[in-house]
Amino acid sequence: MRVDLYLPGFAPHDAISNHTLQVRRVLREAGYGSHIWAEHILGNLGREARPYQEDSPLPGEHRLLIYQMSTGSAMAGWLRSRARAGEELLGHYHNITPASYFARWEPHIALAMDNARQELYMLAPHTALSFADSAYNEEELVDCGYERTLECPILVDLEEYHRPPDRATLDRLRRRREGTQWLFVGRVAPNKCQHDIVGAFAVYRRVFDPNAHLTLVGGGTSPNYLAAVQRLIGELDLGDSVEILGGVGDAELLAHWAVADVFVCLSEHEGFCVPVLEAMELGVPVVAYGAAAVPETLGGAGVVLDDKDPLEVAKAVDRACRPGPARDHLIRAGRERAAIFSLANTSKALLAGIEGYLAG
Amino acid sequence: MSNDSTTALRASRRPDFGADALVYIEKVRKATKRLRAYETNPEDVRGALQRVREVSGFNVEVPVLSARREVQFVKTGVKRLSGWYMAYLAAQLNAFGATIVRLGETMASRVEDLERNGDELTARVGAVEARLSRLEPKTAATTSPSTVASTSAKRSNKEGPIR
Repeated sequence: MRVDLYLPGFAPHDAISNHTLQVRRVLREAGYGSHIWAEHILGNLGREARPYQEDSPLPGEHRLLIYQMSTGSAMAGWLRSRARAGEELLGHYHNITPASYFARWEPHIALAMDNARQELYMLAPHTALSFADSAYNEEELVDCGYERTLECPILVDLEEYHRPPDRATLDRLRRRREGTQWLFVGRVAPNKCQHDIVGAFAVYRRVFDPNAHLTLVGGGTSPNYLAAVQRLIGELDLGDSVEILGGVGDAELLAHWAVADVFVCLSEHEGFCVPVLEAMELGVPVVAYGAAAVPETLGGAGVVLDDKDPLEVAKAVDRACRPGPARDHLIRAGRERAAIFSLANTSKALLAGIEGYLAG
Repeated sequence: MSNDSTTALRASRRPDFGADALVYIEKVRKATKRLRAYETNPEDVRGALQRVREVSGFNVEVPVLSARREVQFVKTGVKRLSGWYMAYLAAQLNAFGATIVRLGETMASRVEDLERNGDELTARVGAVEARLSRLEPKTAATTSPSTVASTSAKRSNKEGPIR
């Protein structure tokens, strides 16, 4: 029996790509054959995946196809044709960013997001079962017409975050550090609202800590939005107290986590938010805006705000950064919450979901 | 804690809520509000034009920041070396963008004029139709079959039976 995995983009340092690799490991360990098929294979991952156009079922072979749904792809139409030909199609929904976030900055991405959502609707009648990273994602699936759904978090190997950080980066960061270190990890995109983080940080710096420093880590998907955030940094006279790093390697990222005092997430749309999980695992208190699946992922183990006013965020960060029982509680609760999403737990849940389906 | 953040924490710092700080907070609120995502009606011509306007300017101030000093050095060098070339291209692109915005504004105005004229015409046609529907019963009353029949009968009575 084979369970093959399909995803539009397979890239290094990408949460869904890492999840797919973990799913393949779980399946192979459970005795299933499993291959990864992708539309775009980036970096040095050519040995791990093959172009989906090369995939063809072996005669008489029983297999499941699991599609990782997060963006638009020609693969969606191809998978529908496979389902029509009698193969069993399953899905795992990681969420699609609403087009409205990109319409203003990158109209072509907005169009692509609209298409991706159309594909989500299109695949609904052909998908026998779809997993969802969160209850929030599951609700969207139901709204799109998916009849059989199951909540199953994304697979993240949290042990990877306990490797040694990049020494040179860590030394550099320790040398420069004086004030409170804010960190946000996530691609620079309008739905992640880095502009709100910059605004709250500016107020925090003005009111609470003039030596504070903000680091934004994450590759960009919207150059126009990035340029607007950079202009905002200049307009608010933040100078080099804000660092926009783009994508960084794993060891380098760990160095940034090691010096972070607080993880601030003001994103308005997240299907799960892996960096929140990383922060909890690494003992960095989280202050987050309570939108989409973020409160669900936090599960009460962080500060959830219902208002993004820069002063309110700055006050919340100040409270979270003051040494004392409240901060200690946030750190402890975060670690306990992260343990629920351990790779062992999530792998077990996913395998149970697949085997439950196979058992009928 | 796995990180070394506690050494940097400042527990005794006193917040600054002076007048200058409050002015600055207001400035931040306004500046961040400008960058929010907003929904526009797909049929809204002015909204679409606003989107064109927002992306019509081409910025040659390429970001050069990097976590690696050597990469930042290279980026700065490339930026300085290619600055004259990029500025030349950007000037033309900005002119093109501004022209497209201008064209969009002209077309939006024309569309609005046409829509206004259309609304006026619709109102006038509506008034004419209402008037017509008021007039129709009267006309029908004067030309209905029964009226025609009775008129013929009167005429027949006067002329006598047809043989």
